[in-house]
Amino acid sequence: MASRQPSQPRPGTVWYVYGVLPASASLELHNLVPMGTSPMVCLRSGRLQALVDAVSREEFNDAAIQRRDLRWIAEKAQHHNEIARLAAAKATFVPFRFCTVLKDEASVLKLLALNEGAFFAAFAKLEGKSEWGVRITRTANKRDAVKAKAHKQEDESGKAYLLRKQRELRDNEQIEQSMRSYAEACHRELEQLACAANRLPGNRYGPVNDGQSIFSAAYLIADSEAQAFKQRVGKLAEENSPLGIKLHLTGPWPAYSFTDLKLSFTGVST
Amino acid sequence: MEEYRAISRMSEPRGQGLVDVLERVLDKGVVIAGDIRISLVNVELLTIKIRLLIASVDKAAEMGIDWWTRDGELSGKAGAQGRKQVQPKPIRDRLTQLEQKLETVLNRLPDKSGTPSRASKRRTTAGSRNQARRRKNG
Repeated sequence: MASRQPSQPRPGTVWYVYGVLPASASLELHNLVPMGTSPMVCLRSGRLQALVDAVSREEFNDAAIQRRDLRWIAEKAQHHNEIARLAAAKATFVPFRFCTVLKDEASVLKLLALNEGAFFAAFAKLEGKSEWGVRITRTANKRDAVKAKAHKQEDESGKAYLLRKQRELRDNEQIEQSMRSYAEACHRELEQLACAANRLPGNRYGPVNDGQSIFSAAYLIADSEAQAFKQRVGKLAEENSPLGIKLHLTGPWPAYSFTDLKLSFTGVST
Repeated sequence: MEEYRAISRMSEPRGQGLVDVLERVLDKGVVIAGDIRISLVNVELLTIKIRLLIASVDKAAEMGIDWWTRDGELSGKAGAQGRKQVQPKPIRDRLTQLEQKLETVLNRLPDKSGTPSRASKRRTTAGSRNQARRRKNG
């Protein structure tokens, strides 16, 4: 079993928690690349284990984080996701938010012991299911088409120019509106295949690869339904392509969007 | 070791771009209630700080210096396409504002193209005044 008895981590390290899984599950820890310098470990308490990484306190503390640049955040966020993804592929896994760092092993074990009920409720909800993401973008072609339609004349006057601009804007808004309604229709259809669905902000962290993002959502899909879900997304993508929207399927993800647990140490007396 | 390769490939284009990852790891997943900050367990909660940092980064994105979303290395295929298409938002906004102002100004002008506009009238007046002055001096 890939866990170990409590022991003292190296001085100057804190525990980065990726997530929690049932103690009965086993991960191939030697295959997971840690952020820190020691091999990844699972800390057990009762029927639970936490997947943790001993990271340097120098690197992971409030003040240091404040000075980090985005490249660091981007790399660590991808790293966090990669570990969580590999764990979720092997076990029912409840992923933690980025940069959850606990002071020591005792804190990790206490967190597990005090929230066992909440974790098992989450396992029950997630077992045999995965999160899939669908992002819908408006394809650039459609915007270009609008521009081309109201094509520019060689020697248009200032007023004609402005009227043309106004017309373009109006057309653009109308198109935007219909694109959103196509996206909503896709969502309604996909939702029916899902055990749960959650919308995501979609553009909080900047523009996406391919055109303007108009919709983003996460779907909790039973693994037995994953193939059907993928096919449905494919079918919708095909149907909607002439309408000027594009569907992007991502996943399977660890079930980030379906684990809105807020844990606490309330009641702990030390 | 397949998993190891997966890690080293992390920055290569995949189904999930950086934006999709951030949307999940920064906003979703299990959180530990903030009150433990002051509890005796003494946990350091970095997530909140990270989010603050990202909030200020959002402003950077508005100013068009959102390099990481266009960096091919970090966000997959965003690089090649993104760089061409991005038009900084402040410039776009300013352009829209200017266009709106221009339109209100132009709307105040006489509608028929036959009627000379106020601007051209003014020019004519100034021109004839100059002519008059020249005549006087000559």
